[in-house]
Amino acid sequence: MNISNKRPLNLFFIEIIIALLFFSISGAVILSVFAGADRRSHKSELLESVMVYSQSIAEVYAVSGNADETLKTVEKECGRLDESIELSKFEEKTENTAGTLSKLTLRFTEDGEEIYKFTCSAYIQNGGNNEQT
Amino acid sequence: MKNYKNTSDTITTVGSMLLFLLVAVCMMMIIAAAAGSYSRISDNYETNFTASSSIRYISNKIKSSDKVEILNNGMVLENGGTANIIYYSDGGLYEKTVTAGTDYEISGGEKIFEINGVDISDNADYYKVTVNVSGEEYSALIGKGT
Repeated sequence: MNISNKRPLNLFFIEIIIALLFFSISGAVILSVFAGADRRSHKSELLESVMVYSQSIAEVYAVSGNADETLKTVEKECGRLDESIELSKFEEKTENTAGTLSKLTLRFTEDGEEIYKFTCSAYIQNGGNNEQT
Repeated sequence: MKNYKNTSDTITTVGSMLLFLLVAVCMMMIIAAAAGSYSRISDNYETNFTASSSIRYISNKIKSSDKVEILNNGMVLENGGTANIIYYSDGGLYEKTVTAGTDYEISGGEKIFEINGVDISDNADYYKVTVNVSGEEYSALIGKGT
């Protein structure tokens, strides 16, 4: 008698537990999806700001042909990038009698992961008003 | 015995319901957090898109023009026989095309982007464009003749 009375309740309890388990798993999945979306949004925001920053660098570098001077000017005019972003640069100069061809490669990283990398160049002719000449 | 069984049933039922209620509250909290996260992502996207698009729009216009004249809250870009006046007014970036050489009035343009301000300055080797979107300022340098 006792057994037959308890069974339906136990089944109901198991059903509730299974439903709760399903909801909990769904909640965990939703949370992880939104956390991922938030992370990607942050990354996209950084990429966008880095690209606008890079555009300014390329514009100034085309005139100056000097990496340090360019970065100083852009930082002064456009402000600093997010502190989490690290910037590494590589500059290569080829001189000949007509002028100097400078090539600047910049690499933006966050926590060691590359966000954006680009190369720009400048050709400063001899006899110009730039100190590179 | 019957009373004991009834009490036990009631406790189990109430316990299950409380558990269910707890999960429902947790789900509500998750949905609220998700809505907040989505709203933040959407706002950031909108702000970034408006800022970078308006900067690139102005940049391309400057590069394709023959002559640039800086005005208060805007600029005039002459190209051949026409002139584009790009200016900030009433919470937006406006543009209008007129015949070059006429009086350049900052009114009657078409709204391109919703922004909170624009500042264009002329430096020796480049123009500096600063766009204010939702209180945040975004700046870019545009070289002259590059």
